[in-house]
Amino acid sequence: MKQRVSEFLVDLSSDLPSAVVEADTGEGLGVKTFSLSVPIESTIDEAGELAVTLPHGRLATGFDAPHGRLRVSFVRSEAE
Amino acid sequence: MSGYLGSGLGTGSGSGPVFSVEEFVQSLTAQLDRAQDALAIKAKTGRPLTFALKDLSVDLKVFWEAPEGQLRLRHANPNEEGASTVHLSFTTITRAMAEENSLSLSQDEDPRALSEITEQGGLGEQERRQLEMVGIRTVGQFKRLSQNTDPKQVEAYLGIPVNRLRMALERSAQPTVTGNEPVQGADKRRLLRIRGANLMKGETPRVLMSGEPVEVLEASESELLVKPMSHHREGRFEVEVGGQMTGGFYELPTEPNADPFAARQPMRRVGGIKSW
Repeated sequence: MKQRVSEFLVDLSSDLPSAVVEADTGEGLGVKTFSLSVPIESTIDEAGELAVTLPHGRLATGFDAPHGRLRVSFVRSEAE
Repeated sequence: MSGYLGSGLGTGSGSGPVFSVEEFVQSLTAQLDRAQDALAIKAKTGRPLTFALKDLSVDLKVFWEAPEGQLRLRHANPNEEGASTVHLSFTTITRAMAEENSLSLSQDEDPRALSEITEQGGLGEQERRQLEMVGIRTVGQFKRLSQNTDPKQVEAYLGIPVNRLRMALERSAQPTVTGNEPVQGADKRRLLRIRGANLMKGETPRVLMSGEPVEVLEASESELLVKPMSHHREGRFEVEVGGQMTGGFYELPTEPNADPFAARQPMRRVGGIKSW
C-alpha cells in the first residue's frame, strides 16, 4: 500500500529509537542522527504527489513499479 | 536541490500524468514541508526528543517527454523498460538562506509579467519562453537585461531579433497603471494610491480625476499618491507622464464628514424652493 512521501517519512521517524536509558543509573545513549537508504516503489499521482512504499519482496507480483531509492537523514531535535 | 539524468533517456510507450520538473519539485517540497511540520507537532505532544528531517534524496525511474519543447517527466509504469533515473537531493535551509538566494519581489521596479508586453508588441510566445529560460520573468528583469547587455548579444545567444527586442523595450517603457486603492492620509483625508510602471520620468506626472487635475503628493516610477477632491467618489482617472497617457477607474469611500450632496450639481434657488 503506497503512502504519500510525507506520511512515509513521519512513519519512518516514529520507528526510530531516540535513546536507550539504563534504568538503574539513568544514563543512556541517544541517537543524534539517523540515515537510511532504502529501495522504494514509487508513483506520482495526478496532483503531482509522490507516493512510495517499500518493495514487495517475497510478495512481488512481477508487475510492480521499477525500484527507485530513498536516502533520508534525520537529526535529533529537542522539544521547545 | 540537485538533479541529473541517469542511464537511458527514452520516451517510453506507457501512459500516466506528466509534469514539468519545476511542478514536481514544488509538489515534493510541499510534501517535505508537511512532513517537517508533522514532526514538529510531535515534539509538542510531550515527547522530550524527536527527529527532524535533515537531508533527503530520492532516485525515481521516469521517462522524459518534450511535447511542446518543454521537458516533462512521467513516472515509469510497471514493466516499462529503458526508464531514466532522476536523482533529486534536498537539504534543509534556513529562512535567511532562502531569502538571500531568492529574488526580492518588492525590489523589482517593474514586477509586471513578461507576457504583458509580449502580447501587445515586440516579442512572441516563443521569445518569451527563451527569455524565461534564462530567468527573465518580469518586465523589470527584461529592462535590466536591456540596460546591461548589447541587444546583438541577446540576439546571438537567444536568437531574438534586435528589432523585436527594441519594440518590446519601447513597449516596456510606456506608462501603465496596474491598480489603485484608497488609503487614509495622516490628516484622515482620503487619498488614492495608484500602482503601475513608468509613472514618473524626471518630473512629477499630471493626474486627472473625473477630468479635474488633482494634487500629486508622492511620486515614484511604480507608485503615485494623489489627493482627490472632496466630491470625488468614482470615475476615471488619467495619468500623463512625459506626454503619454494611461489611466483606470477609481472608487473611493465616502469621507466621514463629507457633505453627501457635494458630488451633485451645486444647489440653486428656484422660486424659493431648493432644488438641484
